[in-house]
Amino acid sequence: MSLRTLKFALLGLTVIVAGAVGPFLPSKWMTTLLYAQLFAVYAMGWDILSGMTGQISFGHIFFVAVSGYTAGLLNLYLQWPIWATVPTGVVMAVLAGLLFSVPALRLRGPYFSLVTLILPLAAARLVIILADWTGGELGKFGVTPLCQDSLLNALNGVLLRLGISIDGFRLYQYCNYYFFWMLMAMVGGGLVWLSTSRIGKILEAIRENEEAVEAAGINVAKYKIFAFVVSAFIVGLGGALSVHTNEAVFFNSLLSLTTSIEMIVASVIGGMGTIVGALWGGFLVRGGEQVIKELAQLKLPIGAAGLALSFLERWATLIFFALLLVLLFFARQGLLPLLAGLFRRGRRIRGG
Amino acid sequence: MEQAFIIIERIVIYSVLISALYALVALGFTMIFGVGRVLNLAHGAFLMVGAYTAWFAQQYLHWDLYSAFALAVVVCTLLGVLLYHGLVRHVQRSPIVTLIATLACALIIEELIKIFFTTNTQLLAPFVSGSVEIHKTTVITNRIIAFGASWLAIILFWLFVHRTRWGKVILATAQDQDGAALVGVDVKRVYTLTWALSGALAGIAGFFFASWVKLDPFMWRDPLIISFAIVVVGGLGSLKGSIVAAYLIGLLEVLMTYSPSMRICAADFRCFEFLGSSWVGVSSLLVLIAILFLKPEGLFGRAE
Repeated sequence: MSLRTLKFALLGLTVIVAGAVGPFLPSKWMTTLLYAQLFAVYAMGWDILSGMTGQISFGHIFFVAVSGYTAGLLNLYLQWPIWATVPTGVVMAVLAGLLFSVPALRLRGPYFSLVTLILPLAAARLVIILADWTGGELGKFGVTPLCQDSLLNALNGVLLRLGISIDGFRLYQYCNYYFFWMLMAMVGGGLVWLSTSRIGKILEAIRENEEAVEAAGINVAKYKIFAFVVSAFIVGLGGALSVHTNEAVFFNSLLSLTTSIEMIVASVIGGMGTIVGALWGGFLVRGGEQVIKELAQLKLPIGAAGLALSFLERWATLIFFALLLVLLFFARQGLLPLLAGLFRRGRRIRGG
Repeated sequence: MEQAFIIIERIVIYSVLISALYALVALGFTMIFGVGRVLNLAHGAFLMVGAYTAWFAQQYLHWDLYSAFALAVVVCTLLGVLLYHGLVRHVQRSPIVTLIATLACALIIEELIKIFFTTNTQLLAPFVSGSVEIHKTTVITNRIIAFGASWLAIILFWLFVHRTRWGKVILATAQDQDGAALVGVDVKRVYTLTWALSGALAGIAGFFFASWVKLDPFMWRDPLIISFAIVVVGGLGSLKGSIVAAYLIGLLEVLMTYSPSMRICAADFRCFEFLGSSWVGVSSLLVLIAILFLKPEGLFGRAE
């Protein structure tokens, strides 16, 4: 089995599982997985640039912010419909990526990462300065929902004809969930294809030895800019759509430095540069956070009063960053390469 | 005319005062980079630990300020050594992993402070309260003390590096690690010493930074950005460049505070302020980005 087939198989499996569990999810978990899918899109978008070319971006949330705030504010103040806001937001994110990538090519390694760290911090200040429009740290409600009443009514009609009746809130949730499910599947498919194509091989070669790629007569700058644009496009698409799902522009979901670093965590957990690994990592991070929250409500029957686990909730973020450190130490390759290694070894043993 | 002179005087005095503190903030960061080629993204968090230690000793242990200050310096020194031996030493070979790891450390420290001390803003009592009048400008006395202490620390540091045996060993290691190792320098010990020194400097800077501004779990970001800006403008790893850069950035920030701001309003009475005090942080970030793009080796630095 080639690497490409293997990755598509794993991606397909993950997408099928995520789609199949949908109807059985309680409302809370459906929300969690909805955001996990969105976050997986971010993580894959990060991975195609940073994981593949080795230029680590600390500030990918910047592209989410550019696209999300563009889409949200155009909708809030100029009443643009979704089919106009989302493409405009994405175009702005791509332009930002393009504008940034050309000078960023001069920066190597840590210097590149430094600048990417600074971008979202500068953007955050601007959002606060423009608080009258952006709502500052509190955010602004009233963005058109992704699943509008007309769409929901149409869906309901189709379902009723099939003999299924669902209450309004659940239908709304399903609509959002499967929307992001489709987005995740398409982004995953596209990026797995790209990462295993000739372009992907060149990107990986740039990570391993940029000079050698240059010496082979390949225009490194062109490929880096391309990776940048694809990455900004995907992350921007997720950002613009998330604004319509949240029906608000939220500072914390569009510009949080923590989310930016969590993209790195997700990709490192799953295996940098593997795309599918980043997707899994995204689920593990968001799912893990929810698991910790659930655990925090439990009481273990230890001692007279029982051991309350409520402290866990406040420790959730910390646990993830500590986990990142542990992974950096002991399993820098991540989950997917680990599994692929086992798989290969197993085959070798069986095949003699 | 009189008024204009007073404003210029005020800008000069304020920027001279704050720039000294900025130079101190960046000093430990510059040294770690200069000697070990490590960008320590936890540097701002070191300052925060120093500030919170002093505050905690004062507030809960009821120590006097001098002991609290000493404790902050000791804790930060130990933290520097701990971070080097527990983490950086093992990942140092890959600059990217070092960046991610030290940033994760900073965020872990932020989370710990959120957990134990909440996100509320705290104030650190100053060494000396009150204010003095310099010509026609009112200056908070504690800021003059911070200025003096910063320069004292910088001069002592310079003397240590250039006049003592261990300082020369550090310089030699910075110039050529392998060469130093060949003539019998224990490079690991030199690194430990630089991390300890960097921690101590961060502790001092953190104490004064906190008494200048305030304490909250996010306070590590500004000093880190200031350190970046300074070492990037001054050239990574150059002490003189750092001090000049600190003065440039301090001046820029103070100028921003006093620059005439423009309030721009839309037809629906939503407004924002163009320039002025809310742009203080933005300006240094934008200058930093511009310099990184136009002159990646820094204004005074050597090319890497």
